[in-house]
Amino acid sequence: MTSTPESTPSLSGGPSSSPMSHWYDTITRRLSLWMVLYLLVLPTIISLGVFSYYPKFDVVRMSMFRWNPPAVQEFTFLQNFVIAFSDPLFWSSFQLVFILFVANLFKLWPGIFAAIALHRLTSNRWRYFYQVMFVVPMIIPAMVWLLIWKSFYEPDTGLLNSFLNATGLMSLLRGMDSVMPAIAQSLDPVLVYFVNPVFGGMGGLVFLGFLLVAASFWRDHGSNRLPAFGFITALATMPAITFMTPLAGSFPGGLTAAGIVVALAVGLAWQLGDRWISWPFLLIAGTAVFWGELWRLPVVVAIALGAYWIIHGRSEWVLSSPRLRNVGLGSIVVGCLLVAFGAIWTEPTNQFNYGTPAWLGSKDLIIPALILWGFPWVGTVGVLIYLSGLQNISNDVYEAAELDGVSPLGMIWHIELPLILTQVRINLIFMTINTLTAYEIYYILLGPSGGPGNRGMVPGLYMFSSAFSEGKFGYACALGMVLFVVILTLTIVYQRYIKVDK
Amino acid sequence: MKLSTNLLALGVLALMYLASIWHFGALFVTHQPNEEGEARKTIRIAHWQLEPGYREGLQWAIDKYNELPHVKKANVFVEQQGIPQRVYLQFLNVHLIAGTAPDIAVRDNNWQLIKGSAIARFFTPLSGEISLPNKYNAREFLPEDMAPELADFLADSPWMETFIDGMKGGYDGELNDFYAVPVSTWGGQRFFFNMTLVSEAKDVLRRAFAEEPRPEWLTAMLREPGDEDSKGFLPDTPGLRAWLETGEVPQSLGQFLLLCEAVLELAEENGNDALVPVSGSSYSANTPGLYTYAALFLNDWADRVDLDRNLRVDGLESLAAFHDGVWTMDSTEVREAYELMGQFTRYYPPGFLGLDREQAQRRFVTGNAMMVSTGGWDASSIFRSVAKRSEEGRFEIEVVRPPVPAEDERWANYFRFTGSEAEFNAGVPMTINKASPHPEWCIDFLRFVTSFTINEEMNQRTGWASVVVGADPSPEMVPFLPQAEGYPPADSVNVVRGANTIPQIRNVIEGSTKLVLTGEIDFDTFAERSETAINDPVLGTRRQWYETWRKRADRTLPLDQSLNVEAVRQYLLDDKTAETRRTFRLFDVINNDEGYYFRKFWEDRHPGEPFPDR
Amino acid sequence: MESLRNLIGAALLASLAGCGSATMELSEEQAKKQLDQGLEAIAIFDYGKALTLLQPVPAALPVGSREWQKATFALASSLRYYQPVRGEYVLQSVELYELLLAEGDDPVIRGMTQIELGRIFEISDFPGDEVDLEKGRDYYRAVIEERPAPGLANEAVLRLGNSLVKEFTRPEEVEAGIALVRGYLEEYPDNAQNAVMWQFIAMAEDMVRNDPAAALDAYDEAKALGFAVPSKADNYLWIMVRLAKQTGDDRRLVRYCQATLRDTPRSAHGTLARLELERLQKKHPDWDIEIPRRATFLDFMNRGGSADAAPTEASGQEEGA
Repeated sequence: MTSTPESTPSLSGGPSSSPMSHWYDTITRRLSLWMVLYLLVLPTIISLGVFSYYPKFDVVRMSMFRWNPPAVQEFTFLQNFVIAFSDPLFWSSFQLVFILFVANLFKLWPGIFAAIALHRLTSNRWRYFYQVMFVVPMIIPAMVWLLIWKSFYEPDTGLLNSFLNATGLMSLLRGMDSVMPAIAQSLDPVLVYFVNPVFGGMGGLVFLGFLLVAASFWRDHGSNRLPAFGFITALATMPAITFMTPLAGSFPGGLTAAGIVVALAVGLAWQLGDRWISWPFLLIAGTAVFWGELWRLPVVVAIALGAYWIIHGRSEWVLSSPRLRNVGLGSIVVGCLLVAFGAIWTEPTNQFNYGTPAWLGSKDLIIPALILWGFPWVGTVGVLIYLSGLQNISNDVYEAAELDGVSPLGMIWHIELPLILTQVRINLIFMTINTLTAYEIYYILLGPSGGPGNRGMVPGLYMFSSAFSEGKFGYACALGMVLFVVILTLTIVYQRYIKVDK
Repeated sequence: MKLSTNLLALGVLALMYLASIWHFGALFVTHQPNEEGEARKTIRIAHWQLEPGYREGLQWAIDKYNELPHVKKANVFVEQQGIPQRVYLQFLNVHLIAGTAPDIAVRDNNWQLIKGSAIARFFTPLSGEISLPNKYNAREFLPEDMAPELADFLADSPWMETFIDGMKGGYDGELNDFYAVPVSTWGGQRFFFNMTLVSEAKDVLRRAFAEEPRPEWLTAMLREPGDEDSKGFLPDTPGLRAWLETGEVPQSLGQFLLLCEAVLELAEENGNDALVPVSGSSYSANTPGLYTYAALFLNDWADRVDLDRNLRVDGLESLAAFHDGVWTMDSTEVREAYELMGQFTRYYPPGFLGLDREQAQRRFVTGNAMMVSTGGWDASSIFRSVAKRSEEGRFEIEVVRPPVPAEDERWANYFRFTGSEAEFNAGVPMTINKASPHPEWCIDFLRFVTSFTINEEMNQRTGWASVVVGADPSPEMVPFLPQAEGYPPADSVNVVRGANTIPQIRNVIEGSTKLVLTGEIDFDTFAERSETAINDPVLGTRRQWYETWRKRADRTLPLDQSLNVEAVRQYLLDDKTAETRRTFRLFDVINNDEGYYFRKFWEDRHPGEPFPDR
Repeated sequence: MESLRNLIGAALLASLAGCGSATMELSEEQAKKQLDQGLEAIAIFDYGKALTLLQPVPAALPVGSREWQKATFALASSLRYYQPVRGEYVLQSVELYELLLAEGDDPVIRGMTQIELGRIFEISDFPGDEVDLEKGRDYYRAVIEERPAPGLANEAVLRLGNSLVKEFTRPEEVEAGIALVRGYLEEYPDNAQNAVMWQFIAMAEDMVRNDPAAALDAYDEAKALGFAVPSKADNYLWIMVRLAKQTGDDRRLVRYCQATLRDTPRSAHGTLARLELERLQKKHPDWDIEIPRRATFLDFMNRGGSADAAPTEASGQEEGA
């Protein structure tokens, strides 16, 4: 806002004050106001800097050290990262956290529906009552909560097994324990003779699907597609070049590879504008999918881009895009079904025979137990956040929708969900951070090594045990840095793709 | 009148203020100088021993001390602060750094923040004090009926000698000095038997022996005398039959396993799914077969694999011996150890790896397990919990050392003893805060509390055992007293625990071991996975060489530092006690300086090949 | 040259004083008080605090005085042992130590300084630090020659010997190291730290030269004097048991096993020693080998007094196992 000398009432100047002094007064007055405001926020900024940002910057620094306080603090540059990337447990911890993350995406929904149900309650008194009921569990200490859940999983006396036995669901699980492996066995030839050699595994098929879906949003058919193709394919070859040659083993080699990757990413961003952001993620995911057979990554990328080229070259975007997207989605669905039936329950667990499955004591049941944890997944904070969003929706919108003949169920999809996407995004960010960094629940439920076969080892727990059990603080910082990058990039994706369209 | 909630809140607040003022006032009054004008000196003791009875026992000793005439005269007052273990370290960290820590605090060995030379910064070294006799062990304080030889010993020996562990529980190996005074002990790991179930299981066995033909499960447990290849565990001898007629706990490992098998039968007969022979859990002390016994199979390799002559087998030594061919995953010792563990896990509850220590104890206390294995630290709570049960739920408990194979039983040629407890350290080590304004009174109190008469009675009250030579423990603690007989406990390649290797190898070996035990993979898969991890070119044995050497090399400077400290103390501060410590230190410093032994061991095995640099 | 070095030293001290927390110049009294506090801080390993306290001290004391020498040594040590290690601090400490050698006349402080300097040149203190082994050894030799205090000379001998033994790929160096320590022991047979020296020889013979017989002889000497760390006597004895077995010397084996049972009640190897003696009894029936009763703290149970009068309950339990 700007103001003119005429429009600003003078506080200091009398009738004799000149326009110059008037200006001066205004500026000093404003400055002093700003100064006061800045001074007021200064303590917050300083404490934020000292207690929040400084330790984080220190983590970045210390991730490049061999650090065993107080005596040892030796700069080793990327050594910790090299070891982390060649550590199988580190990779398997990310696999687990990926599974949990996908599960958590589903576990978000009960909270949303609960909030909508609460919001729709017509009686204010009852709504207030339920809201209070949601808040009450918050006062239970987290530790007690965890221990209660742990006792639910107890094989002999736990609530879960009692419930399964009482409802007959245990028999169902027992039946599935023989049916599911049989299905997996019958799918085996398809996987061995077709999916694995052609797509490099089920993950490859899903990955190809994602590439096609990503390409289907690519509207331009202008001259920039060729250089962009080039950059993407070149980026896709970099993991193979870096990790399948001795490049990553030496400092100059690693630095060169990193430099090339950055240059290619910059080139891609220059070609594609802000749409470039999804590609590095896809390529990182591809690297993880094809780890051990990295040569497949550029091949699959080239196939996807080729498919885009052919389909898009033959018809208009309006027609070709849905086709490409449908093919992509089909490939994802088929891949996921193959994973669900051909890769998860491949052998009988033999845990359900006596009606006392050891949910936390068997490597096959740990992940289901972790996914089940917190059932019915109606988080207090989440519900309250959604509620705050829902309460902002004006009644007019509902009335208009009612006039348009939208059913109460339709209102969820057409009004409530789209209008609380901001809250969903916030919860998604919290959930992601929590999923990736949590270690307490795993520590308490499974111990520092993550249970039998380290099946419950998540990155957070690995970071914790590296620091506090092994005394490798620098290595733990490096693990933390990797987590940080993953969380940051996922947050960017949410910001980019989950938007409230009001 | 309508009650205003605001008024109510104000009222509560006002009450809180009044209570604070009252508390402060009381403190003010109690801290007034005594008749001689000396200001009140309060000695605070912080600990996390919140087990039933401990605080009461300690308070008894504190009250006794506070009543001593010379203590009263000096206006000294000792008080204790029991702090939950979960927040104990945070509490002490904050207060030590702020300089407001209690005068005396129990040390925690898992202290990540205050370790190594930092201990010297916060706590008082005691080497000067402990070499003098404890004045509270003077003859007038000792019981009249005490044997004169013991009385002379306690009265005249240096304070440290009067401890059953030679005060090792307060010794800091890195600083070569004593920084704590242990005041209680709880002994080693034991088997707790539910004698009602023992007797019921024996009934099952007697019936089974009488049946003709014998049930299959019983036949599978038995072996012919002298049949070395048999998979049975013990021969059917008159001794066995005689034992069945008694009310005794198992006298050998074979008898124990037989009894466990009978409990399985008993559970089936009664349709009691919850009843198990052994109340195992993920808590290591609850899993005797896994850790107590498995390591014993591998004991014989100790002298061959200990490269650096410290009588401890670390990860590198285990792996070097593996590559030298001393042991393989196929060694009979390893296979047999896994067989024993497999046998034991049959007797654990399903999913025991998902159970914790409390759950295991609960199962035993509720009469659903014949045996639980744990240490004296849990004894008191187990005894009390069982005593609190209704009359029909109550049972007698007998506590014994883990049994070992008798001469004619399976595995007798692998081990005949369990681990020796000769090197045990007494517990509850109390340190004196360097910032305490009254260190002399702290020492005086610790002398008092570790004197024969006081320590004996205090520990009898707490249900733990005394640390003073010759003192009688409470009757229930007698079975827990350390027993010297046995194999050196740290002297083996501990395959079960991942052979003490770097986490990348250890996680695979230990994790796969658990899968073998839960039956999720077979032994050969375990062996293959473990060997793959060991042979990994980046994170396998090569990395172990580097890490072991690095760890040792990292100690070079701290060791030099401690030598410099002793030089300053000896030559610049004229500290007469420094010379002895300096001598000890010097040996540590030159021994394996910069980890050069490990480079030598590498050279012996890989002549001319450069030592791994990462 | 000398004056130039002094000039540099003075400038260094002045700059250190300038950087110190106490930027004001100290009076001599204050400096002495601060020196005492600094030394106390070192005595409890608080080199960070010592560094802050000591930085302005040497500049406030007359150069060459005993207090100045103490302060300079303590300051240099604070710089060298500051954690985590800083290369520039170590280099500053070298300059201070060298200045101390140039200006100081207290033989003990000079000896301490020479050992510190020897060590700095012998090992790599921080990444990129260059080692000058010969220079380091020269400092040790100087201490051995000047012998300012027996403790310091002993340390220098061990340091010098060890620096030679560490070169395990060159047998002649290893032998020279061992010979040096042996020669010193012959020259000073009544030193307080001779057990440490014998054990150093034993370890070198055993682990570097792979000569168990020579190692055993050296251990015997150490045992006669009282081991380097008496609380670890049980461990040393068991190492001797192993060596005796290696050399096939059953006479000695008997002695060490008996000593384990009799003299080290806290030894975890007592049972193995007894089993070994039982084996030897069978092997050499004519030797009349005695198996001593093992002493434990339980011997004093029930106010019983001596080991001979000990109750049998505990031992009965042991036998049962």
